[in-house]
Amino acid sequence: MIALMLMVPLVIALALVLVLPQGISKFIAMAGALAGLALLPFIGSGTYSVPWFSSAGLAFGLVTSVSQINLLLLAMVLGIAPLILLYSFGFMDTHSQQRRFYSEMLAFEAAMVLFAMSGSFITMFIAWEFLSLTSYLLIGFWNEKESANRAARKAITIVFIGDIAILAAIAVMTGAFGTLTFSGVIAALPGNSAAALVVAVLLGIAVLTKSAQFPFQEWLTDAMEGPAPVSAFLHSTTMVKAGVFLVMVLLPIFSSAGILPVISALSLITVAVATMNALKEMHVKRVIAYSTIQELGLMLFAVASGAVLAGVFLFFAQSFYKALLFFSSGAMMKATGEEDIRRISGLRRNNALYIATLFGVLSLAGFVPFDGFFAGSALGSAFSTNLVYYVVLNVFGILTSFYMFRWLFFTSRKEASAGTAVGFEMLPRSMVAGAIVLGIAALLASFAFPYFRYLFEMPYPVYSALGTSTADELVVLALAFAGAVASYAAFRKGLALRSRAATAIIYSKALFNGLYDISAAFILGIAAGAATFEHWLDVGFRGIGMSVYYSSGFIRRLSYGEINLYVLTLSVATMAMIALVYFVR
Amino acid sequence: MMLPMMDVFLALLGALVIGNIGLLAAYRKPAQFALNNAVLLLLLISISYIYATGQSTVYLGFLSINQFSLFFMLLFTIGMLLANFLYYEFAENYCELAMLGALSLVGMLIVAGSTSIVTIFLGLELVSMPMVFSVLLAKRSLEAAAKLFIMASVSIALFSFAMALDIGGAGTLNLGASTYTYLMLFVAVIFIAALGFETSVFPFNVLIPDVYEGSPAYLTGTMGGINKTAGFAALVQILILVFIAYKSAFLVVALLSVFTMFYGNIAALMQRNLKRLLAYSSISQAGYVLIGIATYSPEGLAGALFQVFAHMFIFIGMLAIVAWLETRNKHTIDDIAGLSRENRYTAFALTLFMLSLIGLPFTTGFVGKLLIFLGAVNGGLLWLALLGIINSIISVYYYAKPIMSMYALEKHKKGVGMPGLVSVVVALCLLITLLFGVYPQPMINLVTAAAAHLFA
Repeated sequence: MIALMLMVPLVIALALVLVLPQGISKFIAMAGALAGLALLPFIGSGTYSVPWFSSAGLAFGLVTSVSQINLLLLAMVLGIAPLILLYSFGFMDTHSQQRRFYSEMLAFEAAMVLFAMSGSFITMFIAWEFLSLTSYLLIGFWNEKESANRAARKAITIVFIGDIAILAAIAVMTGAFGTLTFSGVIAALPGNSAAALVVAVLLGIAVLTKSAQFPFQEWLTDAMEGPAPVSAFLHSTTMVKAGVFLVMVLLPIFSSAGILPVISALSLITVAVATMNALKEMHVKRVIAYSTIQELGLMLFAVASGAVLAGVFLFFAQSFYKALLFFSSGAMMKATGEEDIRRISGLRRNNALYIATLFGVLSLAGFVPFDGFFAGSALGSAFSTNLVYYVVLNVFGILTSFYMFRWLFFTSRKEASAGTAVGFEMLPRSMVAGAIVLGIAALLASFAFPYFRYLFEMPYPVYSALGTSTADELVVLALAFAGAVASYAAFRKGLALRSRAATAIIYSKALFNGLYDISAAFILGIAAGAATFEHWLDVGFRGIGMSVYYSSGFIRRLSYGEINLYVLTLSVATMAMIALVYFVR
Repeated sequence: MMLPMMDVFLALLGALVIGNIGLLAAYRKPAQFALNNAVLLLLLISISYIYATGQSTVYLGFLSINQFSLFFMLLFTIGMLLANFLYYEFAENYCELAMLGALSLVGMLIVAGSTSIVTIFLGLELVSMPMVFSVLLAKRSLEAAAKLFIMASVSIALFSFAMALDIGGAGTLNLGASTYTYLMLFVAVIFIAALGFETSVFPFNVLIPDVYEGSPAYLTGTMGGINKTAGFAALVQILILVFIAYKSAFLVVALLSVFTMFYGNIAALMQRNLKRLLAYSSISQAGYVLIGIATYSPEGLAGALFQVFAHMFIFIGMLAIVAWLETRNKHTIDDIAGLSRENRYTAFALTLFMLSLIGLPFTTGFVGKLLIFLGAVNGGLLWLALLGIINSIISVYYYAKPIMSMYALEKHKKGVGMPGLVSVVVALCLLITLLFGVYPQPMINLVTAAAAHLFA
């Protein structure tokens, strides 16, 4: 069966959601997602091309190319989607815009499936474009909130930088290579190193924007304005991984252009920036978002520095616990109506959710036997010969454990929060059920580690094997434990809260920010610069538009109909054109 | 076989004009509507039939029949058919409008099938002058009509001047390749300037947003959708058939396309008025078409023609919706807040039209832009393609606002139905936009044949 068939149930479900009454939208969406998952085992590997149209000798088609890495992403997308939808049943229950939500989710899933199996740049670009569009719609889903609109606009501005880059790369490749299939471009690389460099740089920019890597990382945390299922689906498990996935699939392009060191340097900076941000962040979802940026950076770092399979395993393992943590954050926000972890408490009143969340935190922190542990130790082993990398990675490891346990300890405090919201006991069952399934999945995903180690094949030769040594495993475990203990001492036992100075530090954002600023003034400067770049882009567009509209300038008077000015412009323009051709001939 | 059909074709044209004039005297609206629909449909059938016979010839020495002219004739006839629906639904003076529309159509068909620059000139006047009177007929649009008239007359003046120089420089006004002389280069530039009004090219278009906004939406649809297509038919014929050897004239076109795209897109950014927003967006779309023309290659031109086709139906469809909104006194982006609650299908259609103009895959807008940009890359105009790409990204910003507004959560909105004829127009335009976006090959074959004919 050709891979494109996977899209059929999703597209049909999308059409039905748009047409049929709003009340059954969610069931149709779930049926479509399940049908897509059911079709997955029947997908054959290999390259297929469905001809679309041809013009001037150039044929366009939807080219799908399925190898193990594509199947992995397909399985992740199709496997997690039903859980996300199940969670949405509960999460979106009071919201009246069910049709819009489920149709946008289905459109997103279809685009992601197309992306996961694309075998040519045109196909990839189409999927990429739909991903940008649907993520824009979903981040701005609560569009009565101005902050949501702003976040959506920010996200799409950054992501569109990547879109321009891909289109430009396509333009260059059409001219230089005459082919747009992945395999064709990779085969044509050695002949034209200049074009290869340009293409790799452009694609690299696209990767950095989509996967929220330095200096484009800021949009992802703002994207937390979207509903929790959206954050869980788009901004942790699937869409943001598109950039990393592109590097995994097209590694030969990047390596032949020689820009892999640049990518690994940028991703390491991302990891540092994101970890520091996570340490100072107190918004329940944004902590997880920073941790996502951090892990995306780690994946990209691993892939770009040669530890491809370790990156792939992290790529796989991260999906479960990260979606789970977003589920918990959304549940906490729904239960308490609060967004700050210092004001959320009482997670333990819902024991099932608490245990699932605990699984997620343990996994992310790197405790055995969860999948995060194997990913962490495989990453450590891959860089055990490079002392600098090894130390840096492990420092990030202990910090991750620290801030994640802080997150858990704060939210599971006993005292009741005085919210008027749903309350933990009253959370819809479907939300909790989704979290539990993901918690179990995070546990079971560990058993996939031997598979990745011995059987997984990339579409190109990979030279470093995946593996762990006992020493590295112990280091990861010890650090995770140390972080947890430190966090326990500081936040659970209340050592930090008991000492007035520590309370001041924790509760005063200014102090934390100061600390953070001093330690990271340089990097922060660049990151802030990139964040303001988006701002200025936005301001620039608006400013120009506004000046046209409001200024009493020339164009405005022109557009608002002063006839003599019109005739003047016209004659000046004509004369300018004549002058131009006079000089150019 | 073909020639009798040509007689039928001309007889139908005559019937259209005379019937409309005759019925105008009787002032029977339904009768005139029925006549227009019937004759336009028959015209459509006859043109398709002639196209199917696949001959290319010059009929009676003045009407050239070939794949290029027939392609445009098809577009014009379908466009007028749709416009006719809108006129009937919205216009107070349907009878006069229908008659003027019939005259316009004759002008357009002449432009499409002209053999010399003079017939292009006459055809264009027959297109633009009835439009001035049509706008004049609507209440409260005197200013728009005046501006339209001024632009048209400036365009006539420039066109006549260019023709006079052309006679002196080349000794003929036939549409045949002219050998390179210095004078003729100026002539080419003045022709571009003269046609800049009808094709809404910067800076000859600065009054156009005013006119589009000031006219009733059903006429804006005709102006921006069909008349602009006629303008491009004229521009393409003159540039490719006569001035193909003048590379710097095409450089001028390339530069104008940059200015046009940026002007349209940037000016649209701050618009709150829906019709004015669409006017600017239509201007920027003209910029993309100019990229295709600037490549002076068959591939680029095919892309340009595809884009012209795509834009025509999208624009008519959008303006049909805007015309309906106008009858309900909704003019700005804020007015359409919650439209999805009132009429789900209309909001959906308007969204898809806008997404198609951005270049959403599986719509005609995507295919047109792809062909244009690839034509530009293969024609050595990579910089122009990149500027076009940047512009298509800018356009997302102003289309996003009405889309978000339509789907905003507005309570207390009741469902509102759309008049049947308008829904038909919108549905047809949407169908064409999606159908030829998903399966564009037939239309690509048409535009490729049309472009190839000009270069043959």
